[in-house]
Amino acid sequence: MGWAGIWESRELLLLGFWFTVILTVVTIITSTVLGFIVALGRTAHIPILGPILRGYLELFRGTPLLIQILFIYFGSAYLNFTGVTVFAAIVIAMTLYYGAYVSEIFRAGFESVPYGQQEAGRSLGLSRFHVIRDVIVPQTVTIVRPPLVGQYISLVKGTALASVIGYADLVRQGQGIIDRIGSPFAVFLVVAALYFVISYPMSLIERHLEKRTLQA
Amino acid sequence: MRSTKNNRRSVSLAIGVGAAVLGLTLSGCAASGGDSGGSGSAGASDSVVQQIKDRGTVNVGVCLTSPPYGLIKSDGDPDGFDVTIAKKIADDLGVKLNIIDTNNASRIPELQTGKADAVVCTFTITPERQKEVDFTDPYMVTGRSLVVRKDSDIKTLEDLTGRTVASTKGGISVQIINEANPKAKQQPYDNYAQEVLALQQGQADAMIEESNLVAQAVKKDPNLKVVIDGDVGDKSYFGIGVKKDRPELLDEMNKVVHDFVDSGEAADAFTKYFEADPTFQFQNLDKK
Amino acid sequence: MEVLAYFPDYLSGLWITTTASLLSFAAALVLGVITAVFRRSGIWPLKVIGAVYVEVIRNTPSLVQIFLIFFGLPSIGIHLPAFEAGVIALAINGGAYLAEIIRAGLTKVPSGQFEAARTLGLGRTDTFFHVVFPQAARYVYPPVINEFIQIILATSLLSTVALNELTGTALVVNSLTFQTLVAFAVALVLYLILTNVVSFAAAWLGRRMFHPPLQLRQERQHGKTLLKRLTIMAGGR
Repeated sequence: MGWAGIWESRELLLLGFWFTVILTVVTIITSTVLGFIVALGRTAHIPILGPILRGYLELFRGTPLLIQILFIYFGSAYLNFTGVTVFAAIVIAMTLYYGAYVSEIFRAGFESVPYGQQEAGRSLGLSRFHVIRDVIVPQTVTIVRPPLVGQYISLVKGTALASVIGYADLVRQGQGIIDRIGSPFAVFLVVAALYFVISYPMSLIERHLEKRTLQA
Repeated sequence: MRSTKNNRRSVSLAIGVGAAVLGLTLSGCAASGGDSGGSGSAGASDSVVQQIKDRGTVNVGVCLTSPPYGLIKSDGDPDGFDVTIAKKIADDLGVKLNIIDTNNASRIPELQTGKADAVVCTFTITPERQKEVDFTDPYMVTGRSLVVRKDSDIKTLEDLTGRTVASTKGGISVQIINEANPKAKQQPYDNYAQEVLALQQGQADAMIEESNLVAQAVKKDPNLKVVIDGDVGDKSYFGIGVKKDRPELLDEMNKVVHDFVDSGEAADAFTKYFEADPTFQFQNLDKK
Repeated sequence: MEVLAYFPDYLSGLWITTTASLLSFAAALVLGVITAVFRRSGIWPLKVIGAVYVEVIRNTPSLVQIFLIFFGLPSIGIHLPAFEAGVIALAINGGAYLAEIIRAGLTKVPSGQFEAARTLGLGRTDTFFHVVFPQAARYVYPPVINEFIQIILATSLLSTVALNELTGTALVVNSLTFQTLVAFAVALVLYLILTNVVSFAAAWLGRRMFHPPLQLRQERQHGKTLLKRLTIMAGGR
């Protein structure tokens, strides 16, 4: 089945593994920040901003990530933003795509905090910022954590698409190894197992958080 | 009731945004097209070589999924016939080489968007492509072969009727298969590695590809056999691709090609990577 | 416009996307129900099979699953054409998500209902189909529709195994016309139309099918129900 060949190529797989991990960590951070800001913007009920943000959500949740990656990778430069590397293009596309889903999680979290608390906070003399920071966010965190981790798990697997535009991640390294030694079945199994190694602990965390929130 | 109205508004907005993206795209294309003709040639273009030197790196697009033209060695480093040329480009400019791993369909966008300064990737010079990018003089002449699995009953191009034939998106094999037998079912893959894998795994009945790629594939996998060797369609000439209206860079690349061919390096690299003697004179290519 | 000359190709791509999505979704739904029933059954081998299936699928990328089925399975003698391989891969993938959605929906039906039905003399199967299932369906409908849309979006991955669905068509048109942006933008707009048509049709059906009518898109729930809905709604893949 080519297991020996795969073992000989372990350094390439390890390299791909790190590329995948790096991409995952960066996009988790960027998409969470974007999602949080968008959710704030949507709950703020600002006249023009509302429809724009809704349009953003509809656009990025209604089309496939793969075509968004292709569009942004090639599109950025045609629209005269030069210097967008493969890595940057993937990070931008994945941030916009997952940011849209993350923002919906945050928004639902914000809305779960009764409106009366906002009013109470304001009437106690807290500023808008302080109401958000000290009243809404702390209550949101517990509720939002499990679905957020669930979304991160989707994100880990979404990074596999980066290989399509030549990012040297796990899938791309796997293809390179198949190119040399054959055995696609065994190689893709190993690649899948390596994703499992990243993703499964996250699933366990998700379940743990879920249990804790339900008990609370 | 209210909610439905909201939905409708947001959807029409989203489709509006989609249409706007489309519109922007169209105008963007038109604008960039105009730019390259106008401000592009006004002086900025002539300093491209200087820009690369100032930057200290040259970005060269190579298809690392097309052994032996481009591949990744087991230690992770790129290697191959086209990679040799990419290294020569960097040496010639006296800068560091940054290889961009690309594929057939992305070659022209990589150049037009400036992500790659040059593309060396089994890039056949065709009139259609010359409208989009500029090519150097050719460094290689080659043909297309028809390859199948050992147990296949396919012997001629006519036998491809109704059968699946693998190709790559953006490769000229797509047109060649169409001319060879329009009744063949085409399967365009993202890159050459996937294409040959599909044939090996029996997911495609046949493949029409560049003959040196095919020769290497058959050498590596004894279950494949060549049915027509290098004689499907017209001959192809490979050149280095460069973005349009960059005469100085094109001259530089032509210098690299001629140096590569005249010094005998091309013949040496051919013997090294294709494990055979070249069947043609590299020096006479540009007099095609 | 050079790209617009290929509009018929886009439409046939859209057709392949639509049929692949529908078939995958239907098969995934069957797989999801079976797995959910497995996981709730008292028989431990079935529980283990269900759990392993869900965990393995949910923690590996669909792209790799597609590659395994299309490029990998021939190594052990199973040859599936791109369309069939793609539909099977997406069905297996979607089935794992739907199993979790359905399982969560079933837990929401109070166990008293089950016992009452059994006391009234209904058999296990009848209880499931006539008492438990109709109630669970209401909880499960919104996230199931969400999953359907995720399956539509995931069909774009089938372009990597040379299926000329919508994304594949855009890639081919791009390589023929060199009009990269327009080629992709046309596909983007068509995807947007498709996913919106589906979510509108689903909302319409939700209002007709359930009593009281189900407001799909603007559902406002609070407290724990909201939390549960969120945990089901894993979102984009």
